[in-house]
Amino acid sequence: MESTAMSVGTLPLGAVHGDRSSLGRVALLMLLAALAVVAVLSLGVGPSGLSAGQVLGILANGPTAQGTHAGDVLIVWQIRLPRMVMGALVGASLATAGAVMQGLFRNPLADPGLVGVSSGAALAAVSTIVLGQTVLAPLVWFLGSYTLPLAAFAGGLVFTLILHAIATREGHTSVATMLLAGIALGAFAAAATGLLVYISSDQQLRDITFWSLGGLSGASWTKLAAGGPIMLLVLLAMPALGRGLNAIVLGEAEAFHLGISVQRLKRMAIFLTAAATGAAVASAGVIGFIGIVVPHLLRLPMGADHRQLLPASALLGAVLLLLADMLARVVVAPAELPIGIITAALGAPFFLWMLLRNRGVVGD
Amino acid sequence: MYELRDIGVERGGRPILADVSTAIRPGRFTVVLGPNGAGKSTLLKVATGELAPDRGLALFEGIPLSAIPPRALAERRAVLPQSARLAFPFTVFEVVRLGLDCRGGISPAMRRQAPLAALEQVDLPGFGPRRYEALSGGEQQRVHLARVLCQIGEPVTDGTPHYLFLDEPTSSLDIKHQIGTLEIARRFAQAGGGVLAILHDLNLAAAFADHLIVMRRGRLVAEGAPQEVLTDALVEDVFELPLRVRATPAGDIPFVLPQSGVGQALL
Repeated sequence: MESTAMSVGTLPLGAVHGDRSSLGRVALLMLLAALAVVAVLSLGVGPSGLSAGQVLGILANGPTAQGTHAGDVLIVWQIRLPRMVMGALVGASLATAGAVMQGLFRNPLADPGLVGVSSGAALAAVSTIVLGQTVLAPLVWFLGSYTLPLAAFAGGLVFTLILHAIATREGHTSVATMLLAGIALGAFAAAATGLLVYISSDQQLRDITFWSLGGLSGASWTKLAAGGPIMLLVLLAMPALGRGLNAIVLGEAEAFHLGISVQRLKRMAIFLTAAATGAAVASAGVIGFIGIVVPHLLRLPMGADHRQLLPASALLGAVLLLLADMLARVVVAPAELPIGIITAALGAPFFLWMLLRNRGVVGD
Repeated sequence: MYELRDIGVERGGRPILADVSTAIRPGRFTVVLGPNGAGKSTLLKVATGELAPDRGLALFEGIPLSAIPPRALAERRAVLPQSARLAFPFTVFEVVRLGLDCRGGISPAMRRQAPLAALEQVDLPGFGPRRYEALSGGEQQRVHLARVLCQIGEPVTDGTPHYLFLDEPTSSLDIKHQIGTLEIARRFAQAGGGVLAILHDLNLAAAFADHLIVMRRGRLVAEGAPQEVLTDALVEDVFELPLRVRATPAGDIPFVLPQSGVGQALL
């Protein structure tokens, strides 16, 4: 932290008193600017490349603009814009869900992906794909296009609740038990998903592969309308947890002494984490490492004040997922890689490097 | 005022507290004494509302603690834990500022100034930017004292007394800071606030407490002013060691020299 104090020499408050909230505000503004830049860039990247100026012009003229570049208008408004918005929301949801779960379990290794919540959401999503015409047909008839996102949400919620019930005894949540239980739940979800794959048809199999590797290629305004509002609502609600998660950094008893209703905080955090993860998995499949890398990356320079860490995680998560998506589109153009492969291939070594470099920060 | 009536707490069928009745009054520095496992910390947990008793009534201003929301409790009392490990790296300033988050009507200027003033008070000036985890155990304990002081504010506001609960506040401190910490607590009580502290040092307890509560095996065995409570018979009975209690020449503060017990404590 000494180096942090040094590097903000221009911010007298942070350097002198150890109050990093002004540093956090600067970081938030920078991340917001970065998101704006990356968002415009991601609308230009692809087989028909567009400059930032062209993109902004097309956006300014609206989706129904007539003229010589009708094809570009269609590509930007109907293909890349929903994809960009979806990518930003998914990245923000995964990163914020990671930050909330790490705060709740008081461990930087807790992550919806690692502890099996994503697997639970994916299992539920795959179930609706494979069983949607048979066993689950009434559900599909009743919920329509909302079946898959709602099922993924329910799957994530059920797995989170099981995890919490297993890891908590007499009000104390054991992190070691939680991680191990998460591995077991993840393995169970993988087995059940494997069974569904075994009985699936060719078309279903293709859809399932998409869920297990993650991707934004299926993004459309229709799909966005199903999962987008859930992610947006959760993202707006998450910062309300900041004060409670700060107090719980000291411990659950200490948080109660500080005036936090710990049980209510836990219920809200679990519900929001499951909702964010479920909606993200429903929209883009299982995308790993965003939830664990982003908050860790932010805590190093700006500290762990959750009131700023949660919005900052949302912004950086969106930026990183959009960058990964651009990479996925460019690497093997004109085809594209599943985005989950990119985030895992870059995220895993990066995370190991961070662990080795900051062993002290992660704790025991 | 806190009232505890016939409090009983059990863990796995074993009684931790049995038939404990006492009161924590404003304007009084109450110290809880007793050997390890006597139920002192459990008593503190019941009084702070952290633990609901299995039997009996725990009341604050006549209202059952379980019926008071955590936020309302936190505005009236602050609790110093024995030790707290942080899950994430915070600066000392940020830890102390956590104490302000439960209070309404804090101006931005106060959010900057109050933690600094509290750090001065616990003799940690300039420690704000330091990383909490890099401090010594005694320094960490004083950081939490500063946080607790930030949370509780004045001993009395608008005629309403506030309370401090201190669980072994001096356990990691050198002698200067032991006395400094207890001075802070005594001033808080003299100004009209209420203090309940768990201590192991009989001499510090006798020197600072207005009121002693002595516990043994989950029961309250004696209560009153230090001069009345600390006797040869009680000390030998409770601590199972034949210590001699004397009084200071200047006043009537009792003291116990551990030398009188050397060679007698066979474990």
